[in-house]
Amino acid sequence: MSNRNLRVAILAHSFSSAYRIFREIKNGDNVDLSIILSPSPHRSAVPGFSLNLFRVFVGSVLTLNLEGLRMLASGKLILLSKQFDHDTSIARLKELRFDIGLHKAGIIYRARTIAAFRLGILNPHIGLLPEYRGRSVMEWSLLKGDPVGITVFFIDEGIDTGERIVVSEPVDVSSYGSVAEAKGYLFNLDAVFFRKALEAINSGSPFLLNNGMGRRYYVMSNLFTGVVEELLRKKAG
Amino acid sequence: MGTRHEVIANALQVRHTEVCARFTNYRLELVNNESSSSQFPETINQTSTPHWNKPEVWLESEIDCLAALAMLARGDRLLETTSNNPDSNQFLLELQKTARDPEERFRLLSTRYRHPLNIGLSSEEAICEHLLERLMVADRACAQQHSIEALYEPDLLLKLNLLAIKSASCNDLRYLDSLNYFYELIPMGWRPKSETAWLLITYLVFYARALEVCSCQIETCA
Repeated sequence: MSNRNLRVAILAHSFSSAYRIFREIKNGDNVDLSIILSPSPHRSAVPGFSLNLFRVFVGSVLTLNLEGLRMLASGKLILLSKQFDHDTSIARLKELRFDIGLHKAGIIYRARTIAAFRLGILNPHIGLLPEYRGRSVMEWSLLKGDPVGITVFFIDEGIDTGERIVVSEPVDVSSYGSVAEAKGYLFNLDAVFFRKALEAINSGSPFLLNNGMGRRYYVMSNLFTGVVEELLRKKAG
Repeated sequence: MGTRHEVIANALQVRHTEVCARFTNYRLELVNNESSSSQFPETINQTSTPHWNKPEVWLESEIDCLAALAMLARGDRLLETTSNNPDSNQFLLELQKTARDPEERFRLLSTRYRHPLNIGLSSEEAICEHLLERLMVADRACAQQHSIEALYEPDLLLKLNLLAIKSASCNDLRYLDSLNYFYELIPMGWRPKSETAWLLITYLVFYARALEVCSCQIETCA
């Protein structure tokens, strides 16, 4: 890998969720980190933009943490007025010339948005790829007696089909007595796993191949979710 | 049997009892107007759900798909001959074109699966995967955002019947769980209005069968 810093952007709809990741990664070597906020698809663009600006100001004042304002002033916090897949947003992303995007927005990206990042957009998936693609994969892993884990990979337009896996590690959730607690734990590891992935990329570690041989899983029924709840309760003792 | 298998088997047993009870309720309400359906048993339980062997080769039946489903649900044996598999790749392409045309999808599926047990053949794997995705993504989203009535009933019920047969002939729990999911999603008070309303009853019969098969084979399923 070259000595040039990786230009990395956290892609999110709210400053607070992006800032949690920012704090974990900001002191990493060879990473030039920014946050890009776009309006949520569930809100109209202009109120979404205004709301984000308002949140940064109010959040900074209330928590006496002026980092958001500093980032805004230094150009490290970028507020888009349209959603990530909008033409004007894509044009702006291309101008900014980021190497990697970190997915923290609740959307599925189009190919043109993904291509606006030199290496692509990383996603922390709470299942071990290639086997566990799709939804409720933590629950499915537990139901089938397989290890639970997190995979950070470069997304494509498919459902967890991106070919380049950067990090894939089992994670022990046996001390959590419910699906919600175990999932919450895994989701909160996103910042740690993004950091691990960026370290792996910076160190030149080869990517693993997501060979597409896994199955796509779907939202689990209440019946099987109840089974998983019981299994977790028994394990947590 | 290990703890995990025991927990799963117990849950399947509880659900099986519920499905049998719901079958009895629906049968009373739905079959009275259907001459063919009056031949369904009054109740189902673990000893009375129909058994069949997974076919090894493509089967042809002389009756149509819906009549065949009714016969299978009653535990009758279909008169059948063997034949060569029709092209599954071409059929999948045709099926994929029907995303916005459930009536055409119903026609395609009921034509191909005149002998419904063919859905369990390994040649139909990609088609089953497609049907599972349709059911658990598009149909589920439509039913949850609007209501179950927003879906084209015959297409939904035929898919549930076919996937229940598929589920009973494989050890892939995703198929069984799609049946679990729709069993929970379909409101207790929902009564299909179409002429094929009785497919709700045959679906429950095949679902009960799938639960039994999975219970027996739990150590290979999970």
